Amino acid sequence: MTRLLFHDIGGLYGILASHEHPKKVLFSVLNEKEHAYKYNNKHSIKDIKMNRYEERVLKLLPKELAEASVKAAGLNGGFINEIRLRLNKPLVVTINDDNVNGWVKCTREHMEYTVKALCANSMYSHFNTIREGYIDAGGGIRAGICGQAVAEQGKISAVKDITSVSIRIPRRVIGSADPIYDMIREMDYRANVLIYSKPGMGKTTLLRELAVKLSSGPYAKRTAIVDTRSELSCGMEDAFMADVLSGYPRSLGIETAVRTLSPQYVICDEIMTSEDADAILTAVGSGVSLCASIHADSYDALVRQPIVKKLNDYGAFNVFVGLIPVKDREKRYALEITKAKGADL
Amino acid sequence: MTIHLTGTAILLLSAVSYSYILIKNENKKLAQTEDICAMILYIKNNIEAFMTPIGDIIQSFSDYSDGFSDYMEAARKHGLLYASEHASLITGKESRRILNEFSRKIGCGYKDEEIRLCQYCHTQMTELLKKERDEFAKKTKMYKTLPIMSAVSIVLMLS
Repeated sequence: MTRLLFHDIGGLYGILASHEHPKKVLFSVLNEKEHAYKYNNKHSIKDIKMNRYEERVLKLLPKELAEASVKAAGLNGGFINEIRLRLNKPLVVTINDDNVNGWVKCTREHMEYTVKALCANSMYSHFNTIREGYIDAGGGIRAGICGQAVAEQGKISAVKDITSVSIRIPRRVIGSADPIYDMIREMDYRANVLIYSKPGMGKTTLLRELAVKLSSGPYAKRTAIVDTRSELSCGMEDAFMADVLSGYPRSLGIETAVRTLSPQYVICDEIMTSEDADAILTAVGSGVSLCASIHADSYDALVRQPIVKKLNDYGAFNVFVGLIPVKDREKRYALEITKAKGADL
Repeated sequence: MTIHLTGTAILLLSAVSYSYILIKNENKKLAQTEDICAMILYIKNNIEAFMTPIGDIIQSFSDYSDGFSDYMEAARKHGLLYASEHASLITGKESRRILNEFSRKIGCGYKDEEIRLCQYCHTQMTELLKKERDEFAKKTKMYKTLPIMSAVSIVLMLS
């Protein structure tokens, strides 16, 4: 195994630090600096401009909570990553990984209004996803929910009296996947990439950018995106070679894509079960390259996971990309790239 | 004499026009109740068969009278609750109450609950509609005769 650590200097240039072959590369991974302080010193709500995803989410909240979220974003500077509502507890807005108190208590009415708005006034049509713990509000906006589960024969048949809503706001960080894409190109599109990090670091955002890079431009590849929770494929207007399998269970989506769409690349988010692993092995065995993500806070923790052990036994992935948290206001993570033996970098 | 005849004619004409307006209003009121009934049934069928979101169901509902178009326009733009609170409807208090209750509750539950809600509201509206139809028949008779009879009595009293 060769382990390489990308470290960001000023957001534009980075050093590919290898024990054997140190060299400089150009990349723009954590280049959020231009966005990060755009709300700074803007204390009036009218002055604060939101991106299109933030605007859409704010429309789903009761006025009081929306205003509190905008204020929090304005005073703390940065993108809103998440908005959390907990019954009878204050609103919490996550901005650049910091949890900011919104100083507004979430009432039962607030919760009901928000859930109803997230479901487009049709909770029944979101029944299946609510059972799985989330609501897909369309356009890549997803809300995790929990409350009183109604279980029948060991399976959740409904969730009542929702007490927590966590709305994730998608975004595009253009250029964030450039170093990974360049590496894939250098490997002649034969890289099978597994992206790992702890939750909320930006795996989906990175994967989304990678999907856009792979499926657009002059070297576009036939890319199948298995978007189980309809959050991976938002804002992909440029991706003209992307086929989106939205709402498919992951393993079924991968199998369907391989069987019917003859993709060159398959992209999927958050692999978890052994069925997912089997589907990935089938795809890789069929000669399809694959990019996926998984929860793990370090490489060591990653390789200890049974599903990864199984995949590694068959050599399914040859590149592992970790998003390692960096204590810096301007950037959230550095890329740690680990290559399997035999793969060229 | 000519003045008398003219006055009588005007009085009778006014009475006939007034009858016509009253009957037309009652007709509109009845049509609106029928439209509410049809809308609830349409929503129920769409949820039952396709689990279509409310917004899409409202967009596709087109079988209603002219008097209901204000309401439908508001519902399409701002949702059922807003429409039932703000749109101009001349239906009776009871049908308005049922509509408000329906608008407030629809979309908050799972499929079975929604179907039950639709059934409940539809049954209530159907009963109301039956009552309104009976009343309409009685009222029409009264509206046709009363103003004209009143006009005739006034003419006789003054002559």
